[in-house]
Amino acid sequence: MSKKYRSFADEFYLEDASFLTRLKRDLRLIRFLVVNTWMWAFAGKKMREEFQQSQNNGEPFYVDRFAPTNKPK
Amino acid sequence: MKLHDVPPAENLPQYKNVPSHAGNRVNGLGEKEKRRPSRVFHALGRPGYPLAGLNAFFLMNNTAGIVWQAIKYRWRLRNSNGPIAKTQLEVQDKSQMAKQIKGKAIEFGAGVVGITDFIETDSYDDIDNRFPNAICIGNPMQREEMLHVPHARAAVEVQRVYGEVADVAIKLAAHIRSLGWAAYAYGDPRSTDILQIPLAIRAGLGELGKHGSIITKEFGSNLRLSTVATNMPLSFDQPIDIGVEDLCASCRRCTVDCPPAAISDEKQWVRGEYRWYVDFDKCVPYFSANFGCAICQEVCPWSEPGRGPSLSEKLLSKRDSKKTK
Repeated sequence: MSKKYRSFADEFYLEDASFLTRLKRDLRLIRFLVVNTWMWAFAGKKMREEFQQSQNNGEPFYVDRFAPTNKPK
Repeated sequence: MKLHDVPPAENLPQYKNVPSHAGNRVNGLGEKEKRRPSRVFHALGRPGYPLAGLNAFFLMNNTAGIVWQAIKYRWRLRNSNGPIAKTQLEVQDKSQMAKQIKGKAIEFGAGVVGITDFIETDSYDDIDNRFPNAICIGNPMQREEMLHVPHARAAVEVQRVYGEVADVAIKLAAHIRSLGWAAYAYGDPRSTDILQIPLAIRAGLGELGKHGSIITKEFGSNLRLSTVATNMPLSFDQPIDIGVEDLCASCRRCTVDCPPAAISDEKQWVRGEYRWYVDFDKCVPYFSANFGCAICQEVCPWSEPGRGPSLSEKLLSKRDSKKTK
């Protein structure tokens, strides 16, 4: 498995950091949360509507397109 | 508990191109060799992650209430680590220190708490855990809210308690660091690098149930976990036997009530361990489409408030009487 992946803990947990480093981390976290909420509110709304429609029509709902680069190992 | 308005496992989100057994394969189903676990869900952004599409769907398929709880909780999680006091408290009696730390956890609001050691298989194979000890914490969820599984109302409560139990871990970790020892708080599965259930079982919080979750004597499966990883010398608790094995061997409540039929009545080999296992590839599409589901945890007889201790007593005395015959 790749070592490049950075988990939430890697990204946002700091041990011994200066005020400025902590401030930068806080700003990065705010950006992360805003981007996620934005995605949920707009791309997510479209997705939820499509899913609901597929449920009502009895059609399959494929999720591959949300991670188009993923290939099975 | 009676379930109301449970959506059928039909027209669930699915993959066109990922093999239907991808999650089970990552989890090591059928493997008889011990190995470290690989990230399988809640790891959006990991290269080559086979279930990224389903994970993205799960994150987007939430209500505003769930998202708001998750935002608040993740903001608080940034305090999971911090500076360590320069003067280190000398620990002469590990068991006395463990008692003090557990008392502190209860003071901070923990429902149940136990201590164990970290072993290699407790963390994912892409991280190096640097701590020898784990303090496992569990907090109960409000039963009246959880009776609404698998709907959004229950999921809001799940996120709320993830926040609450993580707060306990954050405060406890800060307390340990103030004593001069390193400590790191871990919250919910979306933000951790460790497997909390095996740790909590070894720390004596409960036993593994047929539904793949921990069953505690006090709260059944109606709880959420957090962990503090630390290098502070502490004595360990021992795994407990409260009779879960006896009940799960004959009880079929979660098996029957699981809409996608993901729970098996037979134990299976998973990464070198013969144990209960929930079919990941059946469970997760339903879980993602229904706000994290949790039906199996709530229908479990142990999760009924106040029932656990008497159930445990009954099961253990039944076992004893069988032995003496």
